[in-house]
Amino acid sequence: MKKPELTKEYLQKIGQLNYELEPFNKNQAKTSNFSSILTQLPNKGIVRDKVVDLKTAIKNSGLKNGMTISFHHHFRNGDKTVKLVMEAIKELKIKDLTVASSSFTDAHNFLTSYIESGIVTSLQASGCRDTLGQFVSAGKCKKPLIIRSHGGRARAIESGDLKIDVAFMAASASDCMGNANGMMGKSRCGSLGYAMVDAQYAKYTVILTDNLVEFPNKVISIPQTHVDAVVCVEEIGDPKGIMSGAIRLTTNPKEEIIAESIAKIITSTDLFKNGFSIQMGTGGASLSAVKHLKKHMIEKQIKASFCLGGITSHQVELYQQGLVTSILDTQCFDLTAVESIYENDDHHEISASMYANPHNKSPFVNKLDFVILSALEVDVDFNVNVMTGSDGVIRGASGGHSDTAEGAKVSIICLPLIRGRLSCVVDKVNSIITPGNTVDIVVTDFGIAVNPLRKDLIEQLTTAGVKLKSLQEMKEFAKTIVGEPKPIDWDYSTPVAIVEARDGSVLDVIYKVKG
Amino acid sequence: MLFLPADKPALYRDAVFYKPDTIMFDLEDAVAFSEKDAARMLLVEILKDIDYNASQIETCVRINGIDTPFFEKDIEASVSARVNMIRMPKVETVADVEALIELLKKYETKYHSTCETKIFLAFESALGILNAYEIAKSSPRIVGVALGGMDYLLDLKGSRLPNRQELLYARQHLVHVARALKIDAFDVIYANTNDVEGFNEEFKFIKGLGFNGKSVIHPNQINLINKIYQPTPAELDYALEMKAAFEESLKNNKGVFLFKGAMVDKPVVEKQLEIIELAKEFGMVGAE
Repeated sequence: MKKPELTKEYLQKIGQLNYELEPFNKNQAKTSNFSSILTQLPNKGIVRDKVVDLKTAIKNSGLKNGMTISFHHHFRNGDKTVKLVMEAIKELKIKDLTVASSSFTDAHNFLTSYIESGIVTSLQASGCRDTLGQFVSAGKCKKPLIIRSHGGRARAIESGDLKIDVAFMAASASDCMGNANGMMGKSRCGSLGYAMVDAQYAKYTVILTDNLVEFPNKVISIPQTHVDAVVCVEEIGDPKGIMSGAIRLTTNPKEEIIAESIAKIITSTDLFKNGFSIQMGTGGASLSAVKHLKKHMIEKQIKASFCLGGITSHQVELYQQGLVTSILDTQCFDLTAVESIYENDDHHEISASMYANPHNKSPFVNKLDFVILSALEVDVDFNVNVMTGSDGVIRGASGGHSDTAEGAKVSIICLPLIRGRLSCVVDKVNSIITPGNTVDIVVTDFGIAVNPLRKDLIEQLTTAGVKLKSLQEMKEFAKTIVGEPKPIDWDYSTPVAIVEARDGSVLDVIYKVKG
Repeated sequence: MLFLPADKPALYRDAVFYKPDTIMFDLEDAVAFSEKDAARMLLVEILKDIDYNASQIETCVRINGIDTPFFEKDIEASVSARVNMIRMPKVETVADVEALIELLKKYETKYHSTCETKIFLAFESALGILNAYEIAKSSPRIVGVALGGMDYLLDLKGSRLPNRQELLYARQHLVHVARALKIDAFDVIYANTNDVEGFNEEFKFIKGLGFNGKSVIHPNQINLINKIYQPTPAELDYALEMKAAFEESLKNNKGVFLFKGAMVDKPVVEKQLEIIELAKEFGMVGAE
């Protein structure tokens, strides 16, 4: 069976959503057709204390079968909140729920049993990994998983494509009225960038905290004006779990080669000057690139204006050394970043909408000069897959990938040419997460390829003596070493996930893998 | 020359990306006794698929010593895999090399080799170092000499000194052998792969002694070597200017000419031409 064409009619049939799905058109950005002005403004009367127990909060929220609940994933693998809430929901015998989290990590594998028992029937998130990813890829979820970028998710919430009935937001410090943050207390996760959007637009918002502080809270990331209930629990999450999954440091020689190339690219463009801005991914090569870049910044006395996105100790170090003026943080990726966001005035917490929502008046990604992003595979048309593995199984996250690739003046994708026994440069990626027209440069350990659409970059890099290769050339070379893999045997009759572009149109559909 | 344990398939695949001058597939110390056969078979099979020479990488196999039961099998495998060079460990006498060449000839005939396998000799004992000149000049197949640090130290009954002073005699001797015979001289490996500073210091020192290469055990060390070898833009500019001035002087039939206030003759120019050639290898100037 051939891969189905993504027509409007086909998408509507598989989507089963409350809004119309449209195929992605790279020449025409889709516009949200819903005003974000809330149609109903609540009047809760005079409330002087919102602290209740979890079950009461759920009951008061009016949560019923078929509704949508949301969570944030700032604790990543250390998250303990989703399980806590789902157990309470199970006891209250509420079923057929859509769980729309900002992402799913290994901590959420337990959801498979909730899907099997019908308590959860639909998932929406930026990422899905491990056994939950395998479960979804096997077609065991009733409805397809909706995959959105961080900016796309904020857009969907604000436009009403993703209507959240009840948001359960973990916060490491909250007062009795729900003024909350993630920066204080024993379970700190730092920025609450994703939670801010959910809390603002959900019909009912519950703050879960293990640290009830005196009113008024010292730092207010989520204000009481967006909060309906505050629930005290024993533990919302383990901060040690934040630095896990995709984030790692490396002395891997292949990644070192890539890192040096990235630094060379950045320093060879005319954007590398005082006041430049950058977002680094969390892959080994992009983190290592910072090390090289730092050397050039010191040598040439160049200072960056801001670092954006998910923040690690690397960006904090640049800030502490006076090499960057500000940090704009939508998600803390390690405990150094968590400390910094509380202590440093120039380390700002921003919401996912401020970060990357394409339909607000100006998301921060549009001010970026450079973004360095990792990938699982790239095709010869520069399309990037960060979601499905070489076996077609869902095991990644869209994150801010497509948001920053489109917004930044120069988007740099880095990946090894060969992983295991497979080439990472292919004819067609298994699933498109970031469209090729927004990707400027691909760096592998075998060489650098610039998108032919960026004639300016080709000229600047060539003038600076950077040798360029084509993706076709890279693919052919890899073939001489590892040959060509057997194509994945997809079951096109069973779509398991819909990949939305950040504007809400449909970039791709992921199908069940046969066997 | 990048050492690569020959029993690790993934390393064969990755090595090409590090752009070493030579990959040395190790059948000797890096491979356990029980894995010798498997490593040899792997070497032969993978070299059927990956053409390192196409990526301008020379291939070499470090075979097991003449006193082991693996010696001949390793030679046969290397020749059948059509590697460019064999690194013979623990060489002590001319007879060792003669035995190697005899077997090479035998298997080159058997496998219809179109070119002779070159030989790189590793000296790892006092006797070997003392005989090095006679041994290295015994065949035109021999293209280089190397020092094996650990075994040499054990043989000397010495101990590791700061800055590896215990190796000084052997290092200087081998450089003399290499320069007298106009072949390559490679220094010992630097085992602490995390010590960038120490590696750089040692490499600058041995480069100063006259070595033109070093055996490395981690791909990141290749980059370190290249950084030291790579001419700076200023050095390249100076060399290009001198080359231009030299060519101009030739037009005027002058053997000696004035360059930036100093008299310059051919040997000085030749040194600068070497820098230009090196710069070409690093892609700093286009090949003519």
